Amino acid sequence: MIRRLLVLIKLCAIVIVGLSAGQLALHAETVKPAPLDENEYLHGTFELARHLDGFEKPLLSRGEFVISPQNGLIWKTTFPFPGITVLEDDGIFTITPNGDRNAMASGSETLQFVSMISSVLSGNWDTLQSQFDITENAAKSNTWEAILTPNTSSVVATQVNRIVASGDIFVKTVTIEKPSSDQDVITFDDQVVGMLPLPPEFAKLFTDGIPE
Amino acid sequence: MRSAFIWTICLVVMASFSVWQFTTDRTELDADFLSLIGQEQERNQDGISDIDAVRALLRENGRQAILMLSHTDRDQLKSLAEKLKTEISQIDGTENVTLPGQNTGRLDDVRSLYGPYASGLLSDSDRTALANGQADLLYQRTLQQLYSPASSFTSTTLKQDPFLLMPEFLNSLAAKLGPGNDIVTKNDRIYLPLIVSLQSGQSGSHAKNWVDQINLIISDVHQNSPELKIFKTGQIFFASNEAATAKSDVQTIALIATLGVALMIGLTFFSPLPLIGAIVVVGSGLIAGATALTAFFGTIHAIALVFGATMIGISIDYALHFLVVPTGKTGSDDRFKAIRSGLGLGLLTSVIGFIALGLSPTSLFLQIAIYSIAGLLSAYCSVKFLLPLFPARKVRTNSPIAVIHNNLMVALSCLVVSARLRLIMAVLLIAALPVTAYFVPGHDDIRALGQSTPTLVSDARTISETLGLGGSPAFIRIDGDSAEKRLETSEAVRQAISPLIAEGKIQGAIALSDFVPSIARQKANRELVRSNLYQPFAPALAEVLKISIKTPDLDAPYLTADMVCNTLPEVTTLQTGASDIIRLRGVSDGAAVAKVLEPFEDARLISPTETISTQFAEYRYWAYVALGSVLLIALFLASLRYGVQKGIRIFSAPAGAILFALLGGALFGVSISFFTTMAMFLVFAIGADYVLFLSEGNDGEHTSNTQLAVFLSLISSVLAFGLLATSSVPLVSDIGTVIAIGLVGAWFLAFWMTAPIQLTTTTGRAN
Repeated sequence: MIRRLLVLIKLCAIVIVGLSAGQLALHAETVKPAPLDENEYLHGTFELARHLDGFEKPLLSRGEFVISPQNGLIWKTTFPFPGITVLEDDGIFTITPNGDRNAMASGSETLQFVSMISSVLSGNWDTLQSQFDITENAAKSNTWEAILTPNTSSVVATQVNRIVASGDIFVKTVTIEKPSSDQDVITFDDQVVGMLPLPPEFAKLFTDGIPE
Repeated sequence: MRSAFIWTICLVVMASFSVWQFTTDRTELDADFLSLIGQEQERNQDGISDIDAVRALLRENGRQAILMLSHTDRDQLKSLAEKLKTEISQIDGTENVTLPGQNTGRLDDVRSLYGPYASGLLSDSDRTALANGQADLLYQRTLQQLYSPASSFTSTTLKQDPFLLMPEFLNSLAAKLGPGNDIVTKNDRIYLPLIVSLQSGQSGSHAKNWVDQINLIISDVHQNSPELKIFKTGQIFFASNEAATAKSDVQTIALIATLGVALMIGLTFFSPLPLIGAIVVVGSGLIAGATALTAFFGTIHAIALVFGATMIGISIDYALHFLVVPTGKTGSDDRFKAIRSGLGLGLLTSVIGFIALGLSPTSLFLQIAIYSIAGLLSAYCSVKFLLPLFPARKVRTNSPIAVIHNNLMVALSCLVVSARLRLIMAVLLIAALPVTAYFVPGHDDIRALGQSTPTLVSDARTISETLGLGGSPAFIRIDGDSAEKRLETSEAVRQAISPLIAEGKIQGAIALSDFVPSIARQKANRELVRSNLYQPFAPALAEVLKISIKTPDLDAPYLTADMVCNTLPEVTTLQTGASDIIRLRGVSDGAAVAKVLEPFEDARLISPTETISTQFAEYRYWAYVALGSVLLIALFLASLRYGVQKGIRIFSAPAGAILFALLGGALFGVSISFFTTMAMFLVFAIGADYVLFLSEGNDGEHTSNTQLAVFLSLISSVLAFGLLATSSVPLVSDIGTVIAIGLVGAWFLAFWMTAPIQLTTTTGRAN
C-alpha cells in the first residue's frame, strides 16, 4: 500500500515530464506535430526549476533527456550534480555516477505512466481525459497552451493542482503546480527526433539496453 | 389424558419460547465454528490465548476475498477490472473493492505521520550503510533525488527530512509488504488483483448469496470477454463451496432416510399412525432441546445444534420401542408399562453419558449435552404421555420387515453360545476397547475434514504463486509486558528470519515494528544519523538547499504505535490484544521458522490450522475421557442391575460397538477425529438402548416385540446415519461410516449377549 502511494506520486511527476517531453499533438490549427513512431526517439535538453515554498531559491538543474516509445524515458542531469533517472516498464531507477543502479519504484503505476507518455506523444489525449480536465488555447500563431486540471475524483488531484504546458511543434514549457504551494517549471530545448536504435550511451541505461 | 394435555401445553410453551428467543434475537445462532471453541483455553499472561489470536486473524482474513484477473491486453484488463469493481461494489455484503493504485490519496497522511520522526526511521539498507561508514552514498542519493523528476518530496517534508531518508524507509516498507497489490506480468499475460473487503457477519446464507452473485458477474464477464481469466480465493469461497456440498449431500441423504424410515414403518404396521407417533416423539425432543439451549445460552453454536439434533435422533428408538408393543388387557397403559424399565434405563444411561460430556471444559460440549439431555427427557415424556393416545396398530406378521426379521433371528440363533463363552467374549471386547483406542491414531487435521473443488484449490495456488496473496495464514506471535518490549522482540525476530526470507522459505513478512520501530531503535537511528550523516554532510547540503539544517534532537518525541494505528487503521491487524503478530507470507518450511524462533522466549510460530487442529485434538481427548467415564458408570450400573456376570455381558454390547466402530473406521481409512469420537457417543447411547431394551424386554412375552423394535431402530438409524457414509464430504462420510459400523455391531452384540439359548420368533416357532 505504502509503495503504491509512493509510486503513484512519483509517476504523477513523471507523466507530466513525459507530457512535456513529447511532440504534443494538439488539435490547434497552428501546429500539427507528427507523433513519435515506435522506431523513433526524441532527444533534447531541459532546465528544471523546482520552486519550494519557504526556500530562498529554486533548485535549478539542467541536463538532457531521451524518450522512446519502445524503451521509456531517460532524465540525465548534468548540472549542478550528475545523475540519471530512468523510467521504463520495469520501474524507475536512478543510476549513480559510478554506475550503480538503484530502484526508486516499480509496479503497475510506472508502466501506466510510461504508457501514458506514449499516448501523449501520439497526440492521444484520451488516456488523460479520465484524470484531467483539459483545455487548449491557441495562444498565438504557431504556439499553443494546454491546461490540465485533475478531476476531483482523480488520484492525481491529491498531488497536483494544475499543469500548464505550452509549445510549438514541440512542448517547450511545463509548469506543475502542487497542493503544497511548490511548483516545478520545466523548459525544454534543442529537441530532435531520431531513428532507433538509440545512441549506445543512452541505450545501455535501459534494463534491456545494450550491455556494456 | 390430563398428563397428556399438560405435556402438550408444555411443548407448545417451549416451542413458543424458542421461536420468541430466536425471532427477537435474544438467542443468536453462530455458524462460525471458531467462535465457541477454545474459549476455555488457559489465557496467557496478557489474557489472549493462541486460539483467540488465530480467531482474530482468521476473522480478518475471512473478510477478504481476492479475485485475480488475467488478460493479454493491459488496457482491456484495467477496463474490465473497473467494470467488475463497480458491479461487485453493488453486491449486498461488499464493504469496498480495491484495485491497484487506488490508495494514493493517503500519501499525505503517511507523510504527515512519518515526517516529524524521519531521522529515527531508517531502512535496513540505510542503517547498514551509515553503520559501515558509507554516508557519502546516502548524501549522493539525496542530491540525485533533489533534482530527479520522479522525487516525491515537498517543501514541508524536505524541511523535516533534508536527507530524504523517509522515502527510502517507505520504499523498504513497501518491499516488505510484497507485490500483492500490484499488476504483474508473467508469460505474456497480465495479472491484476482485485481485493474485496466484506462486511462483517458474512456467513451462512449471506455468504452463499454473495458468492452466487460474484459467480454470476464472473460468468457474464466471461461471456463478453472470453480472453479474460478470473481466479478467485478467500475463506468465503471455500466455506460456501464446502457448505453447499455438505448441504446437498445431507439433504439427499435425509430425504432418502426419511422416505426409508416412513416406508419401513409403513411396511411394518400398514398404517400411517405409528409414523405420526414417531414424528411427534422426535419433534418433541427437538423442541425441548432448542428450548433448553435458548434458555441457557445467548449464542448457540451450529455444531452443537447439529450434533444435538443427531443425538436426539435416538428418540425415534423410544417411539419404535413403544409402537411395536401390542395393546394389553387394560389398554395403552400396559404398553408403556411393558417397556418402562428398558426405556427408563436407556434414558438414564444416555443422560449420564451426556452429563459426563457436559462436564468437559468446553461450552461446545455443554451445549451438545444440554440439548441432548433435554431432548431425550422430552422424547421419553412424549412416549409416556402422548403415544398412548394414538390408536395401537399391530405389527403385521406377514409384513416384509417382520418376515426378514424373523428369518434373521433364526439365522442368528445359530450363533448363540453358552453364557460362559459369551462372558469370556464380553471380557475380551471390554479389554480390547481401551487398547484399541490407545493404538488407533487420532487425526485431527481440520484440512482433512472439508472437500473443496479442485478449481478453488488450483485458483488459490495460482494467486499465491503469482501475487503472493492468500495461502498460508501462519504468523509469529510476539508477547511482552510493554509495547516497547514487543517491538524490540519483533525487530530481533525479523532480523533472525531474514535469512529464511532470502532463501525463499518464507516469501515475506510484515510486522508492527516495520511500521513503527521501537523507541530504542529510533533513538539508535537518530544517533547514527546525527553522527554519521548530519555532522559530515549537513553543511554541504545546507549550501545546496540554501537553508539552515537542524541536527536531529535526541530528546525530541518518538513515533509510537498508537500514532501509526490512528493514521493507518490496517496496522491494528498486526496487534491482538496486548500481543503483536508478524504476518508471514508463503511459509514453505514451518520447521525452519520454528527452529529460528527457539532462542526467543516471547516469540513463537503459530499456524492457524495446527492451532485449531490441536484444539480439536484436545476436544477429542476430552470426548474420550467422557466416553470412558460413561462406560465405567454404565458397567457399574449394569452390574448393580443384572449382577456382575450378566452386567459385564450387557455392558459389553455398547463397549464392543465402539470397539467395532474404531476398528472398522481404521479399516476403512476413517480419520479418528473429534467429530468421529463424538459419533462414538451416539454409538454408545444407541448401543446401550438396544441392549437394555432387549435385556429388559426379555421376559418371554415381549421378547419378539422388543427384538423387532430394536431391529426397526437399527434400520432407521442406519438409514439416518449410515447413509452419511456415502457423502462426498470427508467429515460427513467419516461420521456416517463410524456410526453405521458401530450400530450394526451394537445390534448384533445386544442380541447376542442377551439372547436366551432357545429363541422364540413371532411365529411361535422354537429355534
